[in-house]
Amino acid sequence: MAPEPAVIELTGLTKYYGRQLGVEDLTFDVSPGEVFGFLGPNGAGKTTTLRMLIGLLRITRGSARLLGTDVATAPPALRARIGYLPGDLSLYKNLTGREYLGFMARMRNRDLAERIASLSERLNLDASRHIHDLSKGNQQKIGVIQAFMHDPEVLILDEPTSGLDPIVQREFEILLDEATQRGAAVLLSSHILSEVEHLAGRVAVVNEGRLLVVERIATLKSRSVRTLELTFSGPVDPAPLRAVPSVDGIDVHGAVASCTVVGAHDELLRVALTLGLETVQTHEPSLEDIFMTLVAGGGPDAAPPAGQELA
Amino acid sequence: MLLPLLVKSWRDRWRGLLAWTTGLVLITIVELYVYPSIRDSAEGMSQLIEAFPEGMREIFPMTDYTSGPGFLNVEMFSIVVPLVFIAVGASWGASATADEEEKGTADLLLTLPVSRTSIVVTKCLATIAVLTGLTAVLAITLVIGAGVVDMDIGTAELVAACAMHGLLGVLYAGIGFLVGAATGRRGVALGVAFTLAIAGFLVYSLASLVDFFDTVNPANPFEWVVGSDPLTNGLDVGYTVGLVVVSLLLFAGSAIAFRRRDIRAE
Ligand SMILES: Nc1ncnc2c1ncn2[C@@H]1O[C@H](COP(=O)(O)OP(=O)(O)OP(=O)(O)O)[C@@H](O)[C@H]1O
Ligand SMILES: [Mg+2]
Repeated sequence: MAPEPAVIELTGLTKYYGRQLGVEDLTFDVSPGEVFGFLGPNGAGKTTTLRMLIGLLRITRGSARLLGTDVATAPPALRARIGYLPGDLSLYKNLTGREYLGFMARMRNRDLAERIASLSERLNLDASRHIHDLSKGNQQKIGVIQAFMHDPEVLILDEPTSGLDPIVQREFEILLDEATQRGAAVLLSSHILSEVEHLAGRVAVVNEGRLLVVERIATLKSRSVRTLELTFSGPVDPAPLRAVPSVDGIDVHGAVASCTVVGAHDELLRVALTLGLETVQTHEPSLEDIFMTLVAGGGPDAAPPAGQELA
Repeated sequence: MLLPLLVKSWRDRWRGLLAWTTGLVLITIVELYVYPSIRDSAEGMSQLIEAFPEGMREIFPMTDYTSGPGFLNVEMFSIVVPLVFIAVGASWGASATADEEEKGTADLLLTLPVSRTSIVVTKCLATIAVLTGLTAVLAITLVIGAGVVDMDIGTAELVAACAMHGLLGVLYAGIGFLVGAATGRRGVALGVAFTLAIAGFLVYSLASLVDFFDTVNPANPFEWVVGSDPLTNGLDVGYTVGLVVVSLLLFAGSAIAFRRRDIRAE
């Protein structure tokens, strides 16, 4: 089967606010049915990128295509097929939730009353209350509903789960699943890395406006630094362990050796077994660890080590 | 034109509009109520006017204060009416897009499948409709009131004056709209519109005293509207066309300025 054409395509996408760098030279694709994570610390350029995609910001250089159409010249009708959730949500506070969502639906020329009612119920939103009386999390639910209610083919979500409680977050994940099941492409930004870990297949990591890496999360994890705690039957000689290429550092206390390992650790275990290995404890690298490693090595001056290796 | 947005624009601001309308109607009624006593004391009044300094009389045409048009010009159409129309127009224009940008609500409005131009057009129409309504209310109050107090003034002249002042409001709405659409800042837009309004008023008022003001006054919308004295002379077609054309240019400029701009984040 031929690979499906990408739904979201960024090619050298660049934004300068005057002389201030927003993002520089972003290139990646998102396919139908894919949830793609967009990660970076504060000020990395996530919001800048997403606001360019939806047409709120002009593109300085490069291009972005949604559903095959260049966003710089796209007709407004393209946005009928897109759902967007801003990072800094601001609703019409004088309206009730239902009035707001009804307004958005009418502006889309759609009758979505039933869909709005069912989504409100699923997210446990009291849509009859005025928005200025709603908590931040409850306002965020309205933001989520307006992004999903018209069943868009592209979802651009800027930190979508901020302020949502765990139960609502789970419902949000189900909504995401339903969207990808019917083939929607999702680009989702976050700096809460553990959130993206179980939502997204692939991620792009940005820092200071530049792309550090685009990779599957599983691959990122398998190639990242992790710590193995090896316990032996008696005091152990660190020299043979240190000789294993994947071992980056080693710390021995009597029968226990803590090894910092990069990449696969099968050879280390083979060597350890010959030395009388009894138990192994691994600490799964969290995405935070991966991320910190990338950011630490990926400043504007330093070459991004993992990025080059994995590209 | 986007009907839901049009309705929403009115719904959001009807309270303020009601206050302005009520105020304008009340002022009109009070003025018309005192007019018969002014008219009946015509002689004493002309002595009083003689006592005013020459400069004051240059600014306000008080010589025929006791006639219907003279009275309404001094009491209402030199300051109060232009002030109300400009205040309403400039604040609606300045808020139209800039308020949504400053509050951050534009971030979702502009991601709907509608063009920025259609949003500007809709908000322009909302503003023009509001000023038209205010004009109509003022005209109706004046025509009925003038009949009740038996004021010697033509209905056509009353309607013409209201229409031209309404258009003055539309023009200043256009200024507020353009600056707001180009900068995304409501305060700046209001500031520019009001500064230009005050400048227009001063230039018109002092044109006979300051040579430079006299030179630029022909390009001054206050001169077109207040200076052409529609209460006496009826509708000045040339100036009316001028008001319409300048307003249209300002609104078109707003659409162009807004179309390709970076929308401010909060
Ligand atoms: N309107 C603007 N004018 C000038 N610079 C801006 C503007 N908006 C953003 N920037 C700059 O662009 C860079 C990227 O900002 P952006 O808001 O896209 O980051 P972010 O990844 O969304 O951060 P956060 O996680 O805090 O939301 C920052 O250096 C920021 O200062
Ligand atoms: Mg952001």
